[in-house]
Amino acid sequence: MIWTRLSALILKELLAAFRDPKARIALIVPPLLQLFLFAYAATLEVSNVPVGVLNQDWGMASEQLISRFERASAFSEIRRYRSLDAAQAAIDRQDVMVVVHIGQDFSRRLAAAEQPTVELLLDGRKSNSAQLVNGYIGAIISQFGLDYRLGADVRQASEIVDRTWYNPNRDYRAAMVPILIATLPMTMVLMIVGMSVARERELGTFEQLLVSPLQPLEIVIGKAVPGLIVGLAQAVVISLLVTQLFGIRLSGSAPVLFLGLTVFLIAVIGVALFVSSLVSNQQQAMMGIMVVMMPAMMLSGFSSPVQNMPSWLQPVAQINPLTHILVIIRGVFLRDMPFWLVAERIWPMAAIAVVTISLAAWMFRRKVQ
Amino acid sequence: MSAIEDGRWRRIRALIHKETLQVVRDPSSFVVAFVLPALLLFMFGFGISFDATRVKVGLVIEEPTPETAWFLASLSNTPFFDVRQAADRRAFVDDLSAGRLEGVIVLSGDFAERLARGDTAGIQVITDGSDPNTAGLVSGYVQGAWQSWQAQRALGDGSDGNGQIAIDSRFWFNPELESRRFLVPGSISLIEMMIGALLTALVVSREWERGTIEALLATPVGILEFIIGKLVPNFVLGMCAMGVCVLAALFVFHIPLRGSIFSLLGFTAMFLSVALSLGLLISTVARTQFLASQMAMLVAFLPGLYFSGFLFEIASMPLPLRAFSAIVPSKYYVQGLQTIFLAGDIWAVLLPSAAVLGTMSVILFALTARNTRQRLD
Repeated sequence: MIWTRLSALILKELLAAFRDPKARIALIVPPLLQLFLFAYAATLEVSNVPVGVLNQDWGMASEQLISRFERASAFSEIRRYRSLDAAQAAIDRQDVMVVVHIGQDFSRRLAAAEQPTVELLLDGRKSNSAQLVNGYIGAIISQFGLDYRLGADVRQASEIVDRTWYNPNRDYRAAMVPILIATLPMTMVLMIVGMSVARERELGTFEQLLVSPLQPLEIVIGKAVPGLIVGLAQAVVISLLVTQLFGIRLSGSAPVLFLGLTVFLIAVIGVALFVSSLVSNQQQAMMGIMVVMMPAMMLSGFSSPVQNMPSWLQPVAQINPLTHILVIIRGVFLRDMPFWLVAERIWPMAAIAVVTISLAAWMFRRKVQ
Repeated sequence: MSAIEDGRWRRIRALIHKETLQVVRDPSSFVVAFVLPALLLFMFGFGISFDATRVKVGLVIEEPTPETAWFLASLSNTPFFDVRQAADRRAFVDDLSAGRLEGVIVLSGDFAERLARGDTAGIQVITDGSDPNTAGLVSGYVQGAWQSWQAQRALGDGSDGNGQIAIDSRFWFNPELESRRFLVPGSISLIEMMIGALLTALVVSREWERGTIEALLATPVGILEFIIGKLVPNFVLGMCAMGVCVLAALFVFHIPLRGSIFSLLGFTAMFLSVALSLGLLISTVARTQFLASQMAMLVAFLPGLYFSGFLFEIASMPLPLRAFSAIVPSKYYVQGLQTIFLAGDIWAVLLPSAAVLGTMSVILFALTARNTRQRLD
């Protein structure tokens, strides 16, 4: 009996979500567009930027150094300036992000084994990119100094051997694109589940549901299952695109990832149901979803690490299901994370799901009385 | 002539009055205009930061000697590291895998011995590539700590720099290197885009959805009057939100304002008129609230997030995307905002950007007027 009721409700919900062609397009096109935008546009890497040079040195060494910048793949071209004022104006105009200032006595001091100084002028308006460029140029200059000294046969006391695990080339795409397996279904599930209750409220059919033999918990399940089906289907499609089309290898176990995603989506559905139990029409639901979704995206380690947040804000990230699934996805995709470490991140999501779904069921029951 | 002019002004005033009432009475426009901006500014200000201020690293010292203790001290003395120590690198593997450590530094057993012999002693740095940005910063920090350790050693030896090249980096406009200083002006552009485009698109598409727009257009109100009536209240709303954002930026986030307040307001007004015209255009195309909100997200918000250059570096993108970024209004606004806040009134940046924004708003305005007229026929 309960199964007939439930399956009828689930079927009705699936039909409602996909009947309108405009709504179908709105559910399919934006996620795909975001996938490609994200794969090609979302990079914090710095490449292809011009480098400004102000060379006041007349020796050979400075030109040798500059030719190393020309060969570096991160830089597109060398722009030369004749005076400090011209260099300054170029940074002001954002023509270049960095100007390498080589002073008059560079070659002489280098040859005399004294310590020459190279000044880097960087545009702090984009401090993250400027820091990366600073690192690139610093490495080139140090290497140049090292090679120069090797010629003079001076041995270095110690050296840094830099290794990157899990993602040896520090490839942004490999680190960023798998995240979409969680964020895109999250957006869609929030919309489908959140809007469906609100639409029934607006049309007045929700009262009819409440007076039917369905229990509040059954209504909750009936609203949740279609969202879960659609969300998981989308997660699987995106996983396939990520691994096949973008060639990002899954180093860990697929079933563990699937388990994590299922618990995550149930938690998201719980949040959506809770939001929709508070609103009375679609426009309010839309606003409610935005108010939940934006903090969820930004306070999750999605665009910058959770550890960088102020310590009073970090507990908020812990009650965000996206934070946990992102650790799982990055871990399973890149780090071959063992199951017991994944489990550490699954139970908080399960707790979020239990709390939000019970709250939503309680709100629905309250509406009946 | 004066009678006609009188009628026109009266109609525009009445329309503005009606639209203002509509905005003021609707709680959801309040959410778009005040709650979302506050949330966004708050999150960009506090939640997003690329500054790995205290990096958690594990230091593996396979055989403790005075040399390794010295190295440990020079790591712990910088404000950048939160150092944990172990004798075996296996102790840190799980922590690195779970993301609890951002890097591991290994000083092998023969470290002191090789240093004493005059051989090159290797310091291994292992970073977590699943977060490439932090990995890059961590190895940069370790490099810096190692350089200062080396310089100290050289002082102790009594030898000079030995031809080593000193690098003196100066970060203009933002010497403290706080990412907040460019993220907050960037997020202001997102907020203004949202108020301008999303709110306008929602408000006007509701009139199309409910059919009240036909009633309005059947009155003596002209197309131009209709558009101005729609734009003015939202423009005022956008400028109010801007005021709130600027106050928060200055007094909560302590972002300096090095340019003048007038250029800030003037530049914002230019951008807001682009965003508003874009919202109006969307509403005349979409005509339902759901579709309008989706289109506003796609056409206004996402490009503003990805292609404005405040989060992602445009120069690193492939050519078609770089070309596309040239028609994204947020790109010009972000450039101007970052300059006005952090650098000052640099007209070489501001004037060309303002000219582009002005051209865009004229084109969008004309398209909207044409679209509305067509709909009327």
